[in-house]
Amino acid sequence: MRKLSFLLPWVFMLILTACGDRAELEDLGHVVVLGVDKAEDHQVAVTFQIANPQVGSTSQASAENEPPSDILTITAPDIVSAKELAQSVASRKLNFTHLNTMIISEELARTKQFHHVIASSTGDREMRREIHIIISKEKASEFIHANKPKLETRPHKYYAFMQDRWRDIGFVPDATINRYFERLSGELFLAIYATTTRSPKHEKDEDQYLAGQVPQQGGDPVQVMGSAVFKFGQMIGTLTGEETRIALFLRPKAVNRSVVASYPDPRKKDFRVTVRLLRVSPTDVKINVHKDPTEVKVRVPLKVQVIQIPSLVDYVLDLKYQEQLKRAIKESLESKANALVKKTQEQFASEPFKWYLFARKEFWTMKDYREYQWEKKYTEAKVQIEFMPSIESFGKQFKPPQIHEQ
Amino acid sequence: MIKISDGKLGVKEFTALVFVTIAIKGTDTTPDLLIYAGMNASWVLPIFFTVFIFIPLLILFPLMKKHDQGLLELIFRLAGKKVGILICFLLFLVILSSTTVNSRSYIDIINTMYYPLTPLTLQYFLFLMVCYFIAKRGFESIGRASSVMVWYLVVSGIILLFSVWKKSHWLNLFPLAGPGIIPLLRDGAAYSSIFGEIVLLAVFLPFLRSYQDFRKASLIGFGFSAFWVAILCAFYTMVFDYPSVEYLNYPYHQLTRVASLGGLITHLDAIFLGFWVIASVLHFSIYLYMTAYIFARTLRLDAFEPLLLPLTGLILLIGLIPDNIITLNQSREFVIFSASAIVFFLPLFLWGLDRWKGRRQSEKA
Repeated sequence: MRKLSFLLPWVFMLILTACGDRAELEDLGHVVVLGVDKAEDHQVAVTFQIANPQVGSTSQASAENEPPSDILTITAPDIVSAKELAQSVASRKLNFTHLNTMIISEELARTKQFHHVIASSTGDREMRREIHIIISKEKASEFIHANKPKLETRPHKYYAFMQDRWRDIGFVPDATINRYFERLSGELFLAIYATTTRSPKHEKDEDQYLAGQVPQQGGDPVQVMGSAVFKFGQMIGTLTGEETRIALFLRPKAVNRSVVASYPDPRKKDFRVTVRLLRVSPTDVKINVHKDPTEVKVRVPLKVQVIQIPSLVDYVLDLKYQEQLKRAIKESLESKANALVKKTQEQFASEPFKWYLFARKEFWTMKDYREYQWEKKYTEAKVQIEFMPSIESFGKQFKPPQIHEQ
Repeated sequence: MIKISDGKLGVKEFTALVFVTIAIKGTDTTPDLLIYAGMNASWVLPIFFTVFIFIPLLILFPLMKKHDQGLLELIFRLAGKKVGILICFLLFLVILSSTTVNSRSYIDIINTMYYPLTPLTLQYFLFLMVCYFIAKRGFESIGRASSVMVWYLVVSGIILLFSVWKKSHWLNLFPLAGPGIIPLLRDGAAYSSIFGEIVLLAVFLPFLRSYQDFRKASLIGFGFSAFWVAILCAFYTMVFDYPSVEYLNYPYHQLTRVASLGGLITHLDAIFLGFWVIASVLHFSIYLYMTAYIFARTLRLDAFEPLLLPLTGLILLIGLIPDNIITLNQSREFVIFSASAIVFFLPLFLWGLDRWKGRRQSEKA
């Protein structure tokens, strides 16, 4: 008995270390970006970008001529079977545990098949619900092939950094699979919109672009701007960068804390004033479901930091001018917001602002809320949006230095 | 100052034991049932359970105090030998079936979420073996182990909530009543045996130092457990939102996958898995011990620890019968309903007997 009790721990050590599911680190091929395209016969063309862990690390020397990643495309009925098929090409065991970005072509997103692909994929235990969804204007495989960032050798680092930047600037929404699943009953879901193709367009307002339209010279091939709008699991349109920003402003919980934007100069019509907008407290949404049409009152408190005044008008020391500037910003924001609300009411017949959460609050049971049919009521709702900017600071000079001509 | 062990548990150990027995239910497949019944208001159900279970407890505790006996002794004393054996056997069936069904569902979780390639039979075998070893050490060790581990479990739980805080949205909890007050109350009663262990744990009174310790520990442990399950359910809804949360098989394990501390510290699920496995092993060793104890008492045996091994084997064999978790969940629902009835009516029955006997005795006198 004593001998047995001495032996037993050792036996357990052997079997308890999960040999059945062991994974050798050396043996794994980490897929860091997944692209999905439409293929014939309800199939999908899945593009895997597999990271090469040696590049960009201390063992670089032993892999000097290897590229940072390998890209391969497989056509199969679904993502998991594509992964299995890809194994006939890839030497290492493909693994999704570090997958953070999924790129889906607009062509696929506009079909009903999109939901089937996403919804079935999360049954796989390696697929996390925190994967970001990017909709590419061109084919996803072309997007992945074209994306060769100059300063980021390792692809996962590129996406990790970019996702932080996007969240900061708010031209694109923070879109994950989890959030997509939240909004399947008629609410609008916004996904990140990106492209590597170019169709430049000149706009006076610097953020009225969609991906691919930003006038750019040099730099990386990928442009990320605006959002793809989904309703009932299908892409039905796009929002420009500016519209996306406004939509994020109107949401109750801020993901982007501060954005920099320019607004028309109220005193010199040719110029614009550049300011930083800070969200200090959550947007206040009040919905009156007892009225017909439904009344929605939205108040967005904002702190404004004036950064640049290219017209050199003295908005700093002159309090009357200051008031004028504030009103100009307020009016500009409100008219854009109203236009966006109108667009969502008429074009999409639903809202991307997460206001359904506030509508839900007005009901006692889920059944009552469903019977109310918020999305339908929203299309006719009377929406009142009020931005409440308050100018907090003016940068680090009292006023722009003036030229004194004799 | 080292106290010599007297083989009995105090308040601290028993509170921890109650917590490990009940609070872990927020992390297995129980929330699936709660969300299915309570929709986005699933977090209200644990609170209702507590209220419903409190009624039999209020009847049972004074009885136990009056006779100063554990549940099983009380049954024999009040119901006589023959009926006592019948009731105890019924209790044994309840605890055996819930141990079997629950342990199998835990293994299903581990199999689906973490080790899909390792044979399920092997995982189940190992799991029950470890539980058996802990149960074999005796009730005192289980209590001690629980009281040591409970702090780690609570702290890891708080870290989990903290790490999903940013992804949660309290507005998701609305509309507050979910399916409506009446359905909530109805399901609160029907499923209340999910917390019914607190009545069954009363069999352990002889292992405690005093009745006062027992009552205090039961109530504190029970209160905290219900609170913890409610908090977890609320977080499932707050992070995944209803109806999306309804499609999740194992919400706790999905929650650990979502958890992250900042952008750098992600993939925390393996850490939480460790704590969870420790908690489940403790949980099932308590169950095993309880099964063996009730069985021994039914047959009026004094030594019950030799029964642990054959019972473990039995549980393993029965647990391997269902093919997958869906068939399992249906049998689980049946177990819960029937157990609800037993847990609820047993104390009432005992109380009635006690009144009746008391009257007869006073008539005799």
